[in-house]
Amino acid sequence: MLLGKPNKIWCKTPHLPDRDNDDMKTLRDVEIGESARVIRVHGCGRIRRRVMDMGITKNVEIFVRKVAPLGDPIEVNLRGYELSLRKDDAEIIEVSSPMSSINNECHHAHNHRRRRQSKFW
Amino acid sequence: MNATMPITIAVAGNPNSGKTTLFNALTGSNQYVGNWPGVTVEKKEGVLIGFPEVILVDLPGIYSLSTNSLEEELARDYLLESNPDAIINIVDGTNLERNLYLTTQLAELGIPMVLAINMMDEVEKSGAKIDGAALGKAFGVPVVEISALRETQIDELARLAMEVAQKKGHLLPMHRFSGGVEHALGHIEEVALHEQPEHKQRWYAVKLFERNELVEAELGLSEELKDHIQQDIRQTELEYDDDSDSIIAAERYDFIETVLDKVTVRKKAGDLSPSDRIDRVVTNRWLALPIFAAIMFVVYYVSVNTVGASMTEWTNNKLFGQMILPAFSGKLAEWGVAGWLQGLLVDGILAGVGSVLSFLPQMIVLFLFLGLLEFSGYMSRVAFIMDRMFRKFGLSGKSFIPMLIGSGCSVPAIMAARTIENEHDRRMTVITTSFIPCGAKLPVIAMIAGAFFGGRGWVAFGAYFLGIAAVVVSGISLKKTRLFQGEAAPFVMELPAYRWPSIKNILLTTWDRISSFVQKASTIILLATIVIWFMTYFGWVDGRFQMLQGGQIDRSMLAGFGNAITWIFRPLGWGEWRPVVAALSGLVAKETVVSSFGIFYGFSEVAEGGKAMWISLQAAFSALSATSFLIFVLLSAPCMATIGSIRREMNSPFWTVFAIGYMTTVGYSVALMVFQIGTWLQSGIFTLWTGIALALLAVVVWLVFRPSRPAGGALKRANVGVRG
Repeated sequence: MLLGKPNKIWCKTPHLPDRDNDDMKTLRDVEIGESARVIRVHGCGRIRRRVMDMGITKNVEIFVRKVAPLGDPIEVNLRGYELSLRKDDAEIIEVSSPMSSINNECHHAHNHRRRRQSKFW
Repeated sequence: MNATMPITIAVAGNPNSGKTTLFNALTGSNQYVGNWPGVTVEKKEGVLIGFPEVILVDLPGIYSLSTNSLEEELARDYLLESNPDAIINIVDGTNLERNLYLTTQLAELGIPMVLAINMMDEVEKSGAKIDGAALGKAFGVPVVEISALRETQIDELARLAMEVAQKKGHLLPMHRFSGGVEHALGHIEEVALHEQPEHKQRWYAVKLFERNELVEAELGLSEELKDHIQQDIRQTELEYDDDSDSIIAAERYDFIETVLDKVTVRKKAGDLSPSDRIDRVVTNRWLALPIFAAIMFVVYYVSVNTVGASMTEWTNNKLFGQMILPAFSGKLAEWGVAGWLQGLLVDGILAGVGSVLSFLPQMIVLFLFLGLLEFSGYMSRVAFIMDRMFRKFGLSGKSFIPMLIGSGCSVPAIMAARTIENEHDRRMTVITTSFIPCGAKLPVIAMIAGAFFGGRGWVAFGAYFLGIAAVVVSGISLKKTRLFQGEAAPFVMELPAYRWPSIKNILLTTWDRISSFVQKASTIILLATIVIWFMTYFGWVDGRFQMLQGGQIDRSMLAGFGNAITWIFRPLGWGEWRPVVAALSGLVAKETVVSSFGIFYGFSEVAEGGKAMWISLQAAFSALSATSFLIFVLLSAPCMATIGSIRREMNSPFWTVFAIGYMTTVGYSVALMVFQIGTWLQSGIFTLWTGIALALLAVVVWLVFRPSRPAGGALKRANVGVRG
């Protein structure tokens, strides 16, 4: 109780199916030196908002670069810059299985999105 | 254009985008630094070079307008409420993808905007290419490619911003999202926003799509309409299999990626940049802490020990003590100025000014270092390295620096807390920093250690331990009160690329900080010095109010005041006017405690820690009550200079009073517990006061160990009289 564990609040949008499960893979589980693709940002409120504002959105690829000397936080690379975040906060970021190089699937997803966008260009 | 109508242009951009450098380049040194009302965030305004009628407002560095930090809230409120004539949005050309995210949000506000792509020199060096004109076209805004550091194209930027601002027009956002989202936004605009001005519609539509309750309330939508909009949102959410706010964030980034693919040739991925190579060593798992320790040692040693201390010593003793003061008194005597006026001018005002000025050399050196650490990018690494240790106490990793500097002097230490972004962390740091024994407390420690403990070794060590314990215990227990609760601030922090800091920036920042200290903090110090001088040198002798001669100090108003409040300090074991007044005189400067004892016991020119005084002290105190006295002096309200800088940094009467009150309460309680529990253990007699001391101890233990989210009732009680 002395230092208190962070309260984890999971926000749910009622009409979307509940996908939180225990074997969900999060950014916390990604090994140093590996990359992962973001599936979804869980969590709630300011942390969720901030994580998304910093560019952690669906389909973005994140490379986990290192961990701080005292074991937390971690440093990741995404969208061409370096970001540090605590492991507890990394837990709200659901990722696909880590991969060490750029996955083709990722490109397909992007192309798909762009096709939809082209209507407006 | 009407020349009398002032034009306001806001400068907005990400932290580390070179915004400060640009602002300095655009205004020269013609700027004013203050605070945003009621908060501890710096606000800068200046006059645009070449356009004296244009006021430039430097918004806090932000990543987004979604108000998940105080800075974002201030920037957003300013842009929405003060309606500047134009925005200069500065983006880092080496990091466009994330920087343009804010641009997509700013463009939706409808305020005319100029996009300044900064660090073009670095972009060119890295081999990347940016088609600025095409990028501007995608956002519907004019673009200037600049280097704020080298001051290239700054005039062009000023001219363009001026041109855009003078048109007094509106910006229609050009960026578009993918089909499903545009469909929903279009529908929302159609059903709920057709009465709003065209340039505002998209902003409102996006906010409604994100289910922003403030905007819903502002527009006063009917329940029916809200339900209708909800259906649109839900449908889109099902289609995209995500929440509406995630969809918008992802759409913004997707738009940016699409644009950047067209207008930029990016450097090869995979190459380690120079910055990455530096970080391989500097934040290396094994080397980070030793390197950090070495850098901190240099900062501390130079600013506190070497340059700082000797310059402070010189200002205090040589410049004021031997040159200005004697010369000034000599002149006054020559002119035949009345004795009391001489005293007021020399001992009161001049000494007060001196005590403020004597901090300046140390502060200048420290702020030059801090500027270097901040602008080079190392400060973010400090937070990265130390976060784990400090966050448990409600502090930031960056709190380490104020704490370290605090062991020299609390005044620059509290000012150093400015580098902490999070307001909770910053306040907590300001409140707890002066628990760390500063240099001026060492003579007091030495005096007590010498007179009662036959040496200073473990007493001094104990004093530092006590200070650190007070910081830790305060951090843990204050963090759990509602004052510091609220939603945890996310620690999601950019580690900016290392850069050579610009000398001009460092000098300007140091100048801003120093001058704002002198202006704001010195008034309170000066006033306090005059009041205390007056109370020390005036009193009633034989029923007549007069200026006192030497040796009449027990007749002073200060002694009278001390006598009136001795009962407060009796439970601490030293309820006599001399120690009480000595402790109070510590408000002027902590080392004054020693010289006060000297005066009271008739050693007018006692050397600090002089042995002759020990006998008198041993008669007045027991070892236990001396310990209690020392604890009170160490932990309670700091000196006036520190209080002045607390007031400057907190920028709020409530927080200033809270900080001082909290420190004094802690000092009093700890001294009481030590004295009463100590007396009980020594004598075996359990008194009412022993009970009170034990109860206090229980309260402290409870405050530390209670669960971090107490029930509503307890929260309310802990929070009586707290605003907002």
